Amino acid sequence: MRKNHTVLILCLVFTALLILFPGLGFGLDEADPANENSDLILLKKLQIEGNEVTNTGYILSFITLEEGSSYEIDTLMDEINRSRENLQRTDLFSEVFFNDEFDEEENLLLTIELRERNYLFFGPGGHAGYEGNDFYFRNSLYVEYKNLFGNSTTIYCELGFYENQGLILLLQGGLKRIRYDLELEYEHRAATDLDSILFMPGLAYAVDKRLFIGADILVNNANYNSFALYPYLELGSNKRFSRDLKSWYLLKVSPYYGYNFQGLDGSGGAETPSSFYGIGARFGYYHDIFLKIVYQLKVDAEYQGGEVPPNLVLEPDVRGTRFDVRTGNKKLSMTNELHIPLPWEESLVIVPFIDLDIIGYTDVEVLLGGGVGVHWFNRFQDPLVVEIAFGRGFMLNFQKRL
Amino acid sequence: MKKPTILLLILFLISFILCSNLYAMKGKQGKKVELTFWHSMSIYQGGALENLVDEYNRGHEDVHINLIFQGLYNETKTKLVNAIKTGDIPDLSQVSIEYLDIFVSDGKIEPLNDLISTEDKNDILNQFWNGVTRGRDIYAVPFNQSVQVLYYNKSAFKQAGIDPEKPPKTWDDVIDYGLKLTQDFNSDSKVDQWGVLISLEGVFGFTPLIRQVGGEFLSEDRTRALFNSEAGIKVMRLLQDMVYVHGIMPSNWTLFEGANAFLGGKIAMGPITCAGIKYAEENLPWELGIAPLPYIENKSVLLGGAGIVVLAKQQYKRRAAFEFVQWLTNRENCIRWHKETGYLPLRRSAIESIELMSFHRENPNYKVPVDQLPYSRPPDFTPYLPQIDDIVRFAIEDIMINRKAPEKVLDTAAAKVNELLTSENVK
Repeated sequence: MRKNHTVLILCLVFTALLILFPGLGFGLDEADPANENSDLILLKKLQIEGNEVTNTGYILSFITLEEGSSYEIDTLMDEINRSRENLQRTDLFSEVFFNDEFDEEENLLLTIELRERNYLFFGPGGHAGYEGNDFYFRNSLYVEYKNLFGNSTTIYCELGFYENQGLILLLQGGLKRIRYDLELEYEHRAATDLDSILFMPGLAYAVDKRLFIGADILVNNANYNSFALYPYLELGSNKRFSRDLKSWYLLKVSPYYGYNFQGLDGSGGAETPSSFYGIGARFGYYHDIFLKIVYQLKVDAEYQGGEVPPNLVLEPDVRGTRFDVRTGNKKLSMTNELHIPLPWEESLVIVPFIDLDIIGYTDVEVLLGGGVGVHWFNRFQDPLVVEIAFGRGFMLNFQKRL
Repeated sequence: MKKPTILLLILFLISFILCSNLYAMKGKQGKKVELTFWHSMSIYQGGALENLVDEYNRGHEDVHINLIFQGLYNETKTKLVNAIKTGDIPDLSQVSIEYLDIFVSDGKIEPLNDLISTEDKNDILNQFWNGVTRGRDIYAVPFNQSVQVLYYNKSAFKQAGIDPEKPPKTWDDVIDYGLKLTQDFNSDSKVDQWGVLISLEGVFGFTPLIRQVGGEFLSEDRTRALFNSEAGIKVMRLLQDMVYVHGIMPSNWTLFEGANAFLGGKIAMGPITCAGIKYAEENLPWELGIAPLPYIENKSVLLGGAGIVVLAKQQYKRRAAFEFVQWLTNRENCIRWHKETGYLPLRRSAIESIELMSFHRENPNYKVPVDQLPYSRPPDFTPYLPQIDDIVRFAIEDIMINRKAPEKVLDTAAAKVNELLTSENVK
């Protein structure tokens, strides 16, 4: 690993602070102070039950109700529903139940009863395939633990059966309207004996229930030492928050700008300082057609310019076609999937899919692939993916797609 | 960082995670009371019940509930009758309130009066106790209770130029809306979308409509049929007109055909049990609207569903079985069962809870059946209800499919019912 560790140490200190003190932040959406109006309900006590792993303080950071404040009944129910949705967004709980009691003075004593999900996941990842008279393997095993330290810190570890190994530490959470992500990724590429470290802290603000404005920062310590800023606007969600919702969508647009530092002491980096830029957009559309069969359309478009570090250039992701031998500075990627749960065993979902990519530099290449997979949602896999795909070659895919 | 260091780090993480989980999973060993629970909940309702029972089993190391699906109500009833004959009975069973009299009249189940607390008696609504009480004795604990509501296709409403937020309130409104909603889209002289389908399943479809015009199905002392009164005739004429005068309803569709047609968007409106709301919301390909059951003159809906009877004979089993039923129907589980299925919440404390009120605010379809509770009533119970149901079903088919005069057909059916009821009295 390179000697210049200053950036890395700063990143680790920042990560450690957020892990150890999840309550860091600033209060937004403070509820109105109590008043004497008899139409108002005083929330005298708010307590959390059922959290064996998750920290109570961390859970409270998602609750928009304040102990000691008074609410009109409609406002109270709105805030309960908002808090419930905030907690469901964390993916940490299978059930969120607001149990109410009233004391002799008709003050509200509210208990939030939670059922925590399973936090341990493991299984195969990557893919294996055959293309151009060659077999290739990028298979791996992963272990993922969500909610380390009780604050949704996710640790993801992948052991490659090919030349690369890696480790991803992911911290996600929220404080009222603030959402934060912190990703630290380390990879060792044996073929080139190259270590790369990516550090991506991100912060977003919820303008309303469906609109986020945020920014991610990228610190890249690999072939180049780079720094980049990715502001973004995110509309909608890929999660279905209400069962009577038949269609839902996600739109995310992110322009970005990066700077490559000059290498120091022969420790790598660009020969001269340089910069890169780009814009990426993601659109996801989800429609419940019939009998829980959901159609998913995902479109990713990205354009890059300037001197992009080699580990950040665009690669195709058409299943059935080798990913790592083609690159480009412009890419349009489209995925069509049908998710068909078996009526007698809904944890098993049949997924036929068609992928299309257009990628390249001056000349672009069109890649088309398709196939069918089985996704098994069980306690330890969320889900276990096995897909057979045909594109420029043949592929057996185990990698879950986000 | 070199490769061996990475591998060591990975192994450490895996060990840490596995150890913490193994610690969390350890449990105590002990002798358990094994209880068998027969039920009739299929598809997603069965899944919701299984989840509750699994949770109970996990949280109670001294009791284990074996949940066994025995088919729908009718099949479970037959199996239970046979089991009682052979003595191989379950400890608990779900019994439809319409079949409860079969077991009560033979003295095969014992009242639960002594086990039910005053708190539960006051908290569970009277309408539900009425369904499981015969004379002064309570024979079951109400569990899955439902009323009919009007399901309607909001997408079809929009297409026909009807405001989907203003569903019909009366059956006359249904006729007006039905005239706009009944469509032959491809002009082949065949109806592609019917305005309404009312599956008049004998007693259960007919009774609330008779009550809506001030009539009754059976006399209070259960000795006489009253459905052939002016009220009954008025209801059947209204339905006949929907088919033959207004042309907004098919005449000869079975319940199964109707359900499939509704699922495929070929029916725009129809009264269906509230127990299907969750399934419909998750599976229908169009936007679902739920409205109160339309009325003719008075509002009235029929309360149906099942209760849980305790059949265990040994005292320790009987006590354990009743504790499980109490848990299953406590305030929190009432709310969860309602949210997971659409069945009615049984308890006043559940209906008035902030959890349910906030759920209804986000999911207004689920609130509609709860709002109908003040004018809901169970059917007129008699041990002969299944046979009466068959007689009435055939009579309705004769009126609707063969277009027979309601007066004559209902009189004939009433005579057969009176004969049954008289034989009961003689017995």
